[in-house]
Amino acid sequence: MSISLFFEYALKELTRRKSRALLSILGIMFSVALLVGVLAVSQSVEQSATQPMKSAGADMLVQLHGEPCAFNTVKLPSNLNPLPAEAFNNLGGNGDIPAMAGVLEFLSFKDGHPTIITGLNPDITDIGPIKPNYEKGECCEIIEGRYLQNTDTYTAVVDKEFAASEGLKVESKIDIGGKDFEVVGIINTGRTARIAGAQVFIPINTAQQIVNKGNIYTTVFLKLSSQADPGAIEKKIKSAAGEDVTITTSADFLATVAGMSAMTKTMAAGISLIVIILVTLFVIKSSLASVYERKGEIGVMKAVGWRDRDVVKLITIENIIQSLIGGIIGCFIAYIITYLFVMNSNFAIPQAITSYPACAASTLSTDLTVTVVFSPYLILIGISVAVILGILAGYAGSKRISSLLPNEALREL
Amino acid sequence: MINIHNITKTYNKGATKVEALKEISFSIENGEMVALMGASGSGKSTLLSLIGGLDKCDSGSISVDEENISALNAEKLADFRRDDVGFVFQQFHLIPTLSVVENIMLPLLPSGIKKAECYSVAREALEKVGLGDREKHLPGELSGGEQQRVAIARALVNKPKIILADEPTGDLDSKTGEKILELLQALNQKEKVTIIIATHDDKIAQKAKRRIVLKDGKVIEDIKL
Repeated sequence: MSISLFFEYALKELTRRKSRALLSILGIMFSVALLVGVLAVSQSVEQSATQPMKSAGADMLVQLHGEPCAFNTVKLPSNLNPLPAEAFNNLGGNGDIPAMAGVLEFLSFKDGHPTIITGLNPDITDIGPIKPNYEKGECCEIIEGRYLQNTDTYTAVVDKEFAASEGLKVESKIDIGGKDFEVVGIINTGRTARIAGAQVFIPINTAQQIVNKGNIYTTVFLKLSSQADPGAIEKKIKSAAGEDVTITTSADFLATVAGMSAMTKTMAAGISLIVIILVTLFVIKSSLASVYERKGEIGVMKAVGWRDRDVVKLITIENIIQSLIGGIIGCFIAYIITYLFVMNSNFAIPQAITSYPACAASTLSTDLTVTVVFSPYLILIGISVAVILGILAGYAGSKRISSLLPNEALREL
Repeated sequence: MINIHNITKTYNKGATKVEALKEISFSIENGEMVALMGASGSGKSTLLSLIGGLDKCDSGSISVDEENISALNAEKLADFRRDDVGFVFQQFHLIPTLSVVENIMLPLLPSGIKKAECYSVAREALEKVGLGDREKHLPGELSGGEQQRVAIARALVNKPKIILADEPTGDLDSKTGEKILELLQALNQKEKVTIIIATHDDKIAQKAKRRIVLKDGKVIEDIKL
């Protein structure tokens, strides 16, 4: 069978019945745009919302939220209370939690202006706010000097922007909680939103001494293995660190940041599917109507020797052509919808997680960078849905009429 | 050879059952040109449909070159129509959106022949009916006679053994009708195609070498001229 001829004949038929073809194309376009748009928007939001957790290499955060502590030269962020470090001593390094990092975030005031400080363990470089052995897209690049070492005490690595605003260089001195720290490195944090991001990073032991509340953390980052049961780990953490701790997972983070829970995602996908089913029924109805209008012509085709399956093939090809057109335009519209949504969206890390003071002279970015995620996989989904819809409509529309005896169909002419 | 044995066909017309053909039997030799005659409703068109595999008889059998076409399944019957039969209808039954040459190519599409070959075979058939210069025209741009010639070219394109023509000149003026008949006669004489023409017109019947007259679904006369 000459497929190219079938395509030519199918195209002629579609151009003859322009308004019907256009209606079907619009229906398919609408459903594909809706489905792909919902998926692309949710993927774009998901990617941006999970970026801070991903960039920290963590699956779970542990914090203790509470009332702000009293003002002092140094103070903890307004609503992050201390977590006892020993509660986490036995958590990390096992099969379920292959990596763990506790950090201490605090504010150091000088002349009424706070500086955001994070104390971290220099030996842990694969999880936490800074991964000095950074890979593309991760934080952070040491642009001058060096990173912290486990023998360091009153040394600091300073964010590039902060260094520029304060005129700091390697070997400069910086006052933190009334102590002089030597700047050993300048780091480019990329100005993207991150958890426990800071203007100055110092060794955790020194940070704990300055805050003077014992061995404490304000945020603990946990990396979970793929086999780990998050529920069981949460229980373990709560029994060790207290029931009041707040545990945030990647999924919770997404829900908190973008208001996008697994349920809203399922609902959006469900609505898209309902629309697809309705559009499928509409396209089948349209295909049936078109086929019945051409009953006589189909009779001629059968009279000159077309088999039932040839008729089904022609009508299915017609439906596939209009589905492909609808699917391609639908994907394009979905991209525009996603782009417009992303351009007009503004997501930020929740204050409860970061607690950066608004009064800081130069503060850190809490805004998430939302970029359009529109993978070839989404286009494949859109086009596949459209083509499947076309095949279904073509088959359903033509199957009954194709099995008529030619004489029955010819009576319509 | 077409062998029609004791065939009966009944169909429903509203609430009433119409016996279109009643136990008809006769044979047609290969290469014959036969006129099926009778008044409107006598069963001519029904008989042509059964011989051409467009419909199925209720009882009896029709065999063509010893193949019982009444027993063929839908697929084999379609192959029979494609390979062995050409139809010429009173209202031409051309597809209005397809050009003349595309209409002629229609029977070739399911046969797996490549486009270039389809085109060349269709061109050949078009030349045969004297419309070589009209291949790109749409049916609506042609006169009735020209449209019927296109329909004949479509019937010829698969080089069938049998051409079944149902009132082929019914919608044409007498001069054009005459030309169409000459064309069918030439096909019968030069290419030995079996031609069965259903008509109620005596003048047309005179062109045939045999006349079978039907009345109320029965053969009342079968004369070789």
